[in-house]
Amino acid sequence: MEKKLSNLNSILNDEMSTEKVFTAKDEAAVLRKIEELRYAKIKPKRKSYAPQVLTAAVVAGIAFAGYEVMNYEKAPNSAEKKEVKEQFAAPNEQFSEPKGTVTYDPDTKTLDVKGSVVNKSQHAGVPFKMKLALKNPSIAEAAGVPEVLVDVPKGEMRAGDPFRFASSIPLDAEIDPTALENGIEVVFYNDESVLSSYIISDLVVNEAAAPKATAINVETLSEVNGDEDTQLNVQVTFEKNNSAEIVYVMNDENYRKNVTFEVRDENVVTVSEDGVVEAVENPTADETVIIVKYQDETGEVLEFEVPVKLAESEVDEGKAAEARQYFEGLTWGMSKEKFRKIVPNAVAKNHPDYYSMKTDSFTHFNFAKGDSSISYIFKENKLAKISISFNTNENYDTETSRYDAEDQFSQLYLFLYKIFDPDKKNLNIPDYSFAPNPWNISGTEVKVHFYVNLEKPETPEHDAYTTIEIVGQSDGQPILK
Amino acid sequence: MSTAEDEFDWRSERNEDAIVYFMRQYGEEIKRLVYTFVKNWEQAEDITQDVFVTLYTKLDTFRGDSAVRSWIYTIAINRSKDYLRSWHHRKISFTDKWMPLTSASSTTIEEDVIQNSDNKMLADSVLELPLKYREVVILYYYKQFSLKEISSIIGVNEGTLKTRLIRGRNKLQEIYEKKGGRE
Repeated sequence: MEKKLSNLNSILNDEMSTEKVFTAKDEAAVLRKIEELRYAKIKPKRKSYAPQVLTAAVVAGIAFAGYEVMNYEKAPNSAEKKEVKEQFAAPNEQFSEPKGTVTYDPDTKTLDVKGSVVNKSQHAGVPFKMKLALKNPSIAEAAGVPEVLVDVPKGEMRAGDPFRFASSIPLDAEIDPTALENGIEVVFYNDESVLSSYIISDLVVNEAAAPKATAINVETLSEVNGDEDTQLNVQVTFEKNNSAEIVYVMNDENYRKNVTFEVRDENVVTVSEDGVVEAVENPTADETVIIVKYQDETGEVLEFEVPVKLAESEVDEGKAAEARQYFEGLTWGMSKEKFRKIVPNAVAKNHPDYYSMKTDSFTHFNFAKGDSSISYIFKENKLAKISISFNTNENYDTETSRYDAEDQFSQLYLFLYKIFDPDKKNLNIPDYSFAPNPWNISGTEVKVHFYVNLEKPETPEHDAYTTIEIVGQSDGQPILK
Repeated sequence: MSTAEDEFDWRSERNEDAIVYFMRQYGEEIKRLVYTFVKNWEQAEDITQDVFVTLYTKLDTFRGDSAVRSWIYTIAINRSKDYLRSWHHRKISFTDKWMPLTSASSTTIEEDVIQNSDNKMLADSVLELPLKYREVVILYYYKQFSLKEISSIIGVNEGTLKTRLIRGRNKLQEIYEKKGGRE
């Protein structure tokens, strides 16, 4: 290819035209236009042949393409609430430097596990699945969940790829947090064998501080380095114990290791290889400014500020409106009769409570292709679940486009959020960073499910939730619960 | 690189005469360059003429920090990108999606053969590259500027350009092979 490109000059010239393309006609047209300018007396006067001293006003501005701040998951403000938290440790053979936390919430009897691992290069391309297992049998029995499978993107995990996982495990009964010391095992496996596992041990039990800030995500897409295609997506999550985690995605991998974050109070943290930064002490949701320092290959350091505040998302309103027509007027718990009036095109399929329709509403996202479909599921004659299904573009498996895909997914979530829950009262859209990794879902089917659990109306913040399913080879039939 | 303006003292000429000189010197390559951006000869003609009119109006402000050729390239590329971003382009791109690389009059048997050649496939592949890769590949391989010169023309640092060049080449290989091109 290099050899061929060295002849590109003659190749392109020959292929374009072997004749002159800039002719006397062009020359004449230019001179005519210049004449017109002269007659219009706007011909500039030559002041001097000496180079002029120009004053350059440099306007430094960072055009933040958009922010989306979500307030969700209001933590129970219970003084007695206990929290178990442990940093994952122990790198092993398959996945290096797993990091994350396990939090037990006795109020809701849930165990939240989230973290990230990085695939080692020598095991590149190994398809894997993941499960979390409660190691202590008595705890497992009491909790009713001896092991929990975690959704992992179908396909391969590339060398050096970070994989972020999150799982909220509802337990049947309250457990003694100290008994968890024996612990939780995280297992990575594929269809043939267990690839690796590690056990979370030495758990620390803390009295949780009263939550000062609810979880807030800030997404910022910024132009950096004068390259409009290089984007840095910064997400800041303020945890309820008032620490913050910063996760960033740089779509140009050449720069991924050269980003540092500095909080206004001068705490400086360095980004680890997988993009998860150690906690920043005492950030304040509405006041904090994150300063992102960005070093390019020449060593030049650029910096810009990411203000942490409420702002509008970057969702294209035109597109949102276009797709919204399929959902306008829908409300959770809507009766089937009313639904049929609003969405007459939806067709009942396979089950009296299951309706679906084709749409092309999602194909304007680069990663989607062809028709997408929307299904509506009723429970006790009330609308209880909406699922969106689309196929990902098979071109999204290249090195250069996978970061675009991740960005697109972030946009999709914002988009769906706007459609379904503009007031942010009902839905709990998954945290972007822990959503299934879109890098490995090229050419497969993806489903986004919105549920409403009508059996728990007393907790409206939590009775609607969303899951994302990578369907792969499955027939994608909805499951009525 | 020794440039034509080294031998021609355009500063001592009337602006009109200087423009005529620049058109004769660079008109051909600029129009071909613009075509690689907009892929439409009519638009390339308009934009190229516009480039030289702009050059005329700005000639007195030229500081001479770079060669005039680079400066004209900068104007041409900016004009081309402006056009590609314009509503007009987006509107006509629905109906004018694909323009053949060769001119409309190219209908001879010989030219048909050329159209099926590897060179044609390579040229088409280059024009199919996403703009950010295409401009670097075009300027580097077609116009044979150095990365430093390209950096000054399009205002992107050399590190980024290197990355784009590598990715552009890989992407080009991909497109070229899909078309059935041979190494």
